[in-house]
Amino acid sequence: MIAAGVAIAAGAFLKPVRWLILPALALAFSAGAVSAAGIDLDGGVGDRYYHPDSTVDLRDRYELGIGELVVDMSETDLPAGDTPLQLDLGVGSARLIVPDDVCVATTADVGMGYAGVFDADNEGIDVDYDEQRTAPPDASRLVVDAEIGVGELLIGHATSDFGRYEARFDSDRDHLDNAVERGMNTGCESR
Amino acid sequence: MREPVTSKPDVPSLVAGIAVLVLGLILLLDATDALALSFALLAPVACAAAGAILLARGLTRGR
Repeated sequence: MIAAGVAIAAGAFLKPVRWLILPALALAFSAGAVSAAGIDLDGGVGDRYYHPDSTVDLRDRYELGIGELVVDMSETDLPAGDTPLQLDLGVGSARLIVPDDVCVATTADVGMGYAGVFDADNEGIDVDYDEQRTAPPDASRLVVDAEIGVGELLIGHATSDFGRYEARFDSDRDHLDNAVERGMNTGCESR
Repeated sequence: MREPVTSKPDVPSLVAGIAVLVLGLILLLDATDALALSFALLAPVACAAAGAILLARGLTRGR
């Protein structure tokens, strides 16, 4: 891009290359939009489903380029104190299902799309979601740091009829689309 | 035969070149984490770049 700019500017003194202006600008604006959205395609393409049973299985970072990323922690036994978790998604849907007794503190950057964290949500362009809740003493707190390029971030509890089988094979995780069904951040201290 | 070097620069090309150069520098700064590029920053920069090029072209038309 810098080279194209130098070539066009230098051409103004030597031999104007006006035909290069439009493609260079189109490329610059496209690259700028991708960069501004924070789209990072590292992690591949497709659907990913993770169901860690304990902190041993739990990674500190889950990453996907394009697709649906599901981290089902509904049966994960978390220790007391803070557990960091990073979610990186380029384009698509990131869904995090957490146990009822865990407090969730969330920091999320969504370039373009929707962030739905329990009963709260935010949508649009350059979405910054930040809710640092505190957990009661000796309770578990999940500290989520999410980077979504274009798409949605959904964090909620599992519903009673939302079993592992359905979550794994039927892609039936639509209850997270509904703010009421995502539940409340009940594991935190009351405000 | 080689074309002679023009004494006056082609202003629209010069402005467009500088605009693309600035956009490239912004992308470079974002890639090196020296700048956090967002749509809130990109939108006015893009409008300014496009506006400067159109203005330069309009002012030099017919010359």
